[in-house]
Amino acid sequence: MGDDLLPLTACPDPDPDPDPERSEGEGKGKGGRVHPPSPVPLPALNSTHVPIDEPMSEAQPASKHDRQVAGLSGGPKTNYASAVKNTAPAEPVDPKADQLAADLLVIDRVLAGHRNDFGLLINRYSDALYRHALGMTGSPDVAEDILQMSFIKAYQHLSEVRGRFDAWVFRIVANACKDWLKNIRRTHLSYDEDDQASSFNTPEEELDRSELRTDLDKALATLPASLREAFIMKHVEGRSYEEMADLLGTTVGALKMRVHRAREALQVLLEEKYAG
Amino acid sequence: MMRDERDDQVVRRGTYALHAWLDGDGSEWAARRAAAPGAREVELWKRVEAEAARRRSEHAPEGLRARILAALPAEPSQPAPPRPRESSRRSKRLPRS
Repeated sequence: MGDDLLPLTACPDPDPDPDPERSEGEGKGKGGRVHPPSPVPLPALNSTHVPIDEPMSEAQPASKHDRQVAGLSGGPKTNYASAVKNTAPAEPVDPKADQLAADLLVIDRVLAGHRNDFGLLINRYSDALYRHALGMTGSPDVAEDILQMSFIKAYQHLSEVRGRFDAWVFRIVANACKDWLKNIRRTHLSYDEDDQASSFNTPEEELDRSELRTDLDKALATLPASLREAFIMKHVEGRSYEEMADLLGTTVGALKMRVHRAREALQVLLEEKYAG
Repeated sequence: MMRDERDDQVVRRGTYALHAWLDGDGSEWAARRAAAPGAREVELWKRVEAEAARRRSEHAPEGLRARILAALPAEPSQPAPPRPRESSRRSKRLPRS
C-alpha cells in the first residue's frame, strides 16, 4: 500500500477543533488503548505546520510497555528507539511503525468523538482497498459497496483495533470480497467500460485492450477465490510476497504457489487468443 | 535421455524462468531464452502486465469518502471492559495444612 498512501496532512480536516486533553504526552485514549508515544504534542490535524506523520524528532521517551503494546518491541529498531537517545546517530526509520503510530493517533481522536477524522483513514487506504475489491469482484459498483460496508464495519469496531489498522481493515475488505464471491456464483464478470478512462491512442489498440480487459476478467472469474486473491494482490496491487504473507497470515511459499497456479490457469485460458 | 524427458526439462526450465521474471527475480531476457520458440507466453504476460499496470492506477470513486462519512453511525462502539486475568478468575485454594 506504500505507494498509495496519502500523507495525512494532504487530507483536509473537516473537524478542526483540537483536543485540549491531548495537548501533551500521549497516553491512553478513550478506549483505554495505549499508544506509542506521540512524537510531538498532538497538533490539530488541519495544521500545516506540524504534520502528523512528520519524522519523529522530538518524541517523548517510549516506555518498554508502550513499545510492546504497539508491537514494536521485537521488531527492528524504530525512530521511537532513536527518540529515546537523542544523542545517538539517526537510526533507520521504520515507515510501518510511523504509519502505525499515525493511524493510532487518528483512531484515538475518532474514539474521542472526532467522528470526521475517520475520513483521514478512508483517504489513506481507500484507493488500495478499492483496487483489491475491484480485482476480486470485477464490478466497480460492487467494489464501492464493499468498501462502504467495510469502512462502516471498521468504524463500528474501531475500538477493537490492535496493531496495524491497514492490515485489519484489509482483512475486513478481503473477507467481504470472498463472501461476495461465495454468494454470487457468476460465470463471468465484466467491467463497465464506460467507467474506464482510456489512455490508448488508436481505435484498434483500444479495441484490443478492452477485449483483453474483458477476457482477463472472465478468466479471473474462473479461478478459486484464494488463487484469484493472490494473483490480484501480486499483479494488480503490486505487493511483495512478504507483504501479502503479512496481510493474509500465511507463508511466502504458499502464496508463491497460489500465484504460480493462478498464472498457469490464466495462461491456458488466454494463450490461444493473445500469445504471439 | 528420451526425447519426452528432454522436452519436459525444457518446459520446466521455461516455466521456472517465466515465473522468476514475473516475480521480479529474473530478467525478461532469461524468460525469453528459456521459453518455447517464439516466446509466446512472454508476449502474453507482457500484455497482461500492461493491463495490470493500468488497473494499478485506478482510484476509489470521487465522493466515496463523503458517502461513507454520511453513512457512519453516530458513534463507534466503545471497547468492552477488560477481561479479568486468568489468575484472578481461578478459585483460590487454600493450602492444606
